[in-house]
Amino acid sequence: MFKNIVEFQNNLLKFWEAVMGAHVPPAAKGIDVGEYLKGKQFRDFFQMLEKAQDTYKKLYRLWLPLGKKLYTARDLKEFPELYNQFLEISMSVYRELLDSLFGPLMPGYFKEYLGKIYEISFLVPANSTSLFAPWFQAMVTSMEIMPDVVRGDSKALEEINEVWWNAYSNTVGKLMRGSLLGMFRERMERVLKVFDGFIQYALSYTDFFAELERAAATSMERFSMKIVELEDPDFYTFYKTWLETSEETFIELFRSDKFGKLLNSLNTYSMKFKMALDNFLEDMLKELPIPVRSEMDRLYKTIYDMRLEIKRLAKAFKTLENKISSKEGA
Amino acid sequence: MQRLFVSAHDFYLELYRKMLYGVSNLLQIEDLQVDTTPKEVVYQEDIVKLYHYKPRVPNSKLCPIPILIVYALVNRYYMLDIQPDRSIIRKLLDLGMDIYLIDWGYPDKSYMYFTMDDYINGYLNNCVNFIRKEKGIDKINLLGICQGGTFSAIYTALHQEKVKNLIVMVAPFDFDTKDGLLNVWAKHLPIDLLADGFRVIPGDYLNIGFLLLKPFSLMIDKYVGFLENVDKKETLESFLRMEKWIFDSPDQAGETWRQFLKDLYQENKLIKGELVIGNPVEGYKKVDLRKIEVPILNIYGEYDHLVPPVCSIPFNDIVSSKDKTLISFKTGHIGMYVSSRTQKDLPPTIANWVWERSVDKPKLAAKAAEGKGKAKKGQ
Repeated sequence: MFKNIVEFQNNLLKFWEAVMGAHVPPAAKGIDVGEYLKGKQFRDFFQMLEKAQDTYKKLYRLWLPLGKKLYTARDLKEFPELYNQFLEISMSVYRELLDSLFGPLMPGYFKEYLGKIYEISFLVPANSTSLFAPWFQAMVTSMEIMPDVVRGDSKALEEINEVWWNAYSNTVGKLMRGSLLGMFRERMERVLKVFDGFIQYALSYTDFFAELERAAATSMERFSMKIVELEDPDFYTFYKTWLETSEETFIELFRSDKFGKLLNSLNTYSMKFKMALDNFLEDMLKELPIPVRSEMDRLYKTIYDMRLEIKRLAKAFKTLENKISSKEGA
Repeated sequence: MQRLFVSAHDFYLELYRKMLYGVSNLLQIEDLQVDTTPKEVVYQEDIVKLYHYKPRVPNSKLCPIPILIVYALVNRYYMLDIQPDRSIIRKLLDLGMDIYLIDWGYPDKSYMYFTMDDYINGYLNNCVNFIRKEKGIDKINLLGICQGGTFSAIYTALHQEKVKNLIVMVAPFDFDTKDGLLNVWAKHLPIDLLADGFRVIPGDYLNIGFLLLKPFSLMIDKYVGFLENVDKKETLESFLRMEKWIFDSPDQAGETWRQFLKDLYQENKLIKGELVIGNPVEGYKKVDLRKIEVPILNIYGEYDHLVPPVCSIPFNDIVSSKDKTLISFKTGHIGMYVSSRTQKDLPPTIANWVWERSVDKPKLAAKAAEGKGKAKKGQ
């Protein structure tokens, strides 16, 4: 099998030499693939791979316990230190990999360049605390609350919602809302606003329906208690009791200030999302030969203002007409 | 428990039987007729139409002062003429009323900047002027229903010289209450954001709010009731007419909706005398309900969940009219138009009140005598 592969490679090289003719570099002429594979270069390459494998093993041995520490960190204050340790290990292993595996295969200046990029990307201290910490924290809290969510606790769902919202809001959300640079800045800002708007809307929607779900659970509890009191009810009584209990419970919720706040939040964020999406769509459509929303709005405003102007003129005309007729009468 | 399962089984079998009849009934229904009382468009401005109903009594028995019915911008006026045998309008016509009605139409996005001033000092005032001119009279009767009642009261406060009598029906004036869910929710809504975002408030958005007022009754029980009666053709037709009306919801001009919700629902400016209506060209005027001196008939539903009695009743306390009447019916907001009790009692209540205030006393006495004579003949 191996012999066939080597023979195939040799034939391929011969064919290439025949086609390229005088353009084949002298060093590349008459190479025997079988002899090459037995050579020092090939052996060195496999040794390097082996060494790299050891480096990776070493890396994971150091990474795993630290990763676990990071993952279970309860206090955000612990995070920067743990994260820096994590980065230091990553950096040393990365350098080792560069030196041992990739280093010999690439020019020195390129190796140095890759090393710098890695250092710069990961050693900006602000990133470690402000960009990643809230997400780790959210993950840890979510893992703790998740069993309650699975049990159907809508308050727990709300809590998870809040934790992730805070993580988003304090990290990516901030970037989404920040201003960008460059030629496509405005368009990109519109896209990001849509995305940000959707996240906020989805969260307020979840909060709203979690409260409805809680009311449904309360109404079922109340209904169960009532149905126990009813002795051998027929279906109609059963249905009416369920209906009345559910309606009472929901209206009780609808009257509460808490529901009012949720209603406000749902309406606010759905409108913000809608407006961001409208702006984005308008931006996409404005090159087409159709009038877009803001153009039509301006037109409506002009027509509306003209109506008022006509009213004013009609009034002035009437006054003038009356003056003239009274003069004529006199 | 056994009884529950047996009765549930019976219930479903019965429902299944009815549904089969119902399908046959549904196939027989070709056209659901609503709004059938004959009328003609006598004035039109943009999408707003002024209808005049064909009188159903000879001219000699027609009330000399016509009534202009001002319905709400939300939903459609034909609830008052939902079917021939359940029509407030037809019954009022039979009682000698000369009826005009404003159809506000279906505003599209071009109405986004229209304010309450455009509706009240614009369309409504133009319709009133048209009727006055056509009839050669100075004053007409106004019958405002629901939001139309609020508009009519505002109009009367601003143009009292054109109003002979004011009737308001299930209309809100005092919005500061927790009795109605709409009042509670309106306090929390981000009105500016909604008006800016929608520009013209979708009727369906408002419908969701109305359905949530009684979520289980309106979204479940109503349809269970429908299935229970689906085998009765007449009941089925009535149900479908109501269903058509309920979801026939025009969009709302954004600026009008903004002002109505902010100034009235949120800040309760009307009852406080702080509401300002106007435009930059013709100027702005404060609406002072205390200035109203015309005779008032205020009708409300005791079980109204959309406009609770506490929103309607204070109107009679605030106006300066000496002749004011407050009447309640043991019904809800929708029941006021369609329940058997109000169908029987409401039109005569309105008609008698209007007759008494629209003609001279000797003429009224003659009319009463004529009525008695008729009754004797009928015996």
